Amino acid sequence: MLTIANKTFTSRLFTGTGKFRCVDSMFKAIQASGSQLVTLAMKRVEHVSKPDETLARLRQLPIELLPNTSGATNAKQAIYAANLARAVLDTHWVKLEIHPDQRYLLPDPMETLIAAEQLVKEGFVVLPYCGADPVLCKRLEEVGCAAVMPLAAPIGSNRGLLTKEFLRIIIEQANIPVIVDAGIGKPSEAMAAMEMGVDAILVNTAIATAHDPIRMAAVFAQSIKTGRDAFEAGLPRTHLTALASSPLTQFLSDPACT
Amino acid sequence: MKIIVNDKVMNCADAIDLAFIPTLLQCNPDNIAMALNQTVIHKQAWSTTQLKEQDRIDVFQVVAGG
Repeated sequence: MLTIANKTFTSRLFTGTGKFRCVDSMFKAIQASGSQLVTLAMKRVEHVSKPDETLARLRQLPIELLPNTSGATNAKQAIYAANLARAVLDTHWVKLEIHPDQRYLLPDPMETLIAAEQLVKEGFVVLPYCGADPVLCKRLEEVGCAAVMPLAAPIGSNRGLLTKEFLRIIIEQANIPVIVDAGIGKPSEAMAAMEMGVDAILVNTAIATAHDPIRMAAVFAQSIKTGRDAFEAGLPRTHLTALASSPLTQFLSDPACT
Repeated sequence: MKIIVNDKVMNCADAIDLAFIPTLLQCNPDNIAMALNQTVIHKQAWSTTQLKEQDRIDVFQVVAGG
């Protein structure tokens, strides 16, 4: 069981809602994932906008909604987006996301820390998307974030655990949940992260753009559960040399045996 | 009077309140948040928030995202 702020989650797979081929595919994939925390974004209404059924469908599921501040390029915009999201979704949870650079979508550490501190003061439960920087993650914890969400690789890149060694340090030092967000492309990568002791994983692109998103959602759920079980069972230490698993008595040439 | 909705100047009647904006944009009011001159106005207060000339209204909707 995972607890973030005052909520408990039996599933350690969190999902995003972007990039699905259609709302129905998104709905069924989230159902199949068993995810209980699902992200959404905020966007300015266009003057000729198509009706969007995303929110109406999500409200039929037994999930918590987690609006993000994607599109914000500084702390001020992110705080504004969080307040808009709170007004429409009636939740004070927010995935804080500030990435000024469009090519790699890497989060701005300074603006993220400034916004996190302010949003916590305003009563938000803040889950910041951040670089896999152990020092920054400690600072985000100190200003009152409910979890940290370090990246594995750039958003949507499917490149896997590029930040593995830094995630290891973050996990070791954190007193709040560590949720790996962004870059996980395969269930095996999600499992490897869970084996390391990550508390949860947020997956969007790898599920939404799979040939069969519903099946992929279920596979991610399995791999994350398996990885967590392995972590809780206690993985053995690694060694640079062999440690025999069988008796090494040289019985064929041992005089005692002749 | 003229108001500015998501950076676009729009003409509307003189006595309207914020609750009229979803109709103006033909969007679902359940799915949007609005701010008047950068201050977020909660849904309960839309119908009592009168608009005036040159007011800037930001209208955001919830969409899919990761």
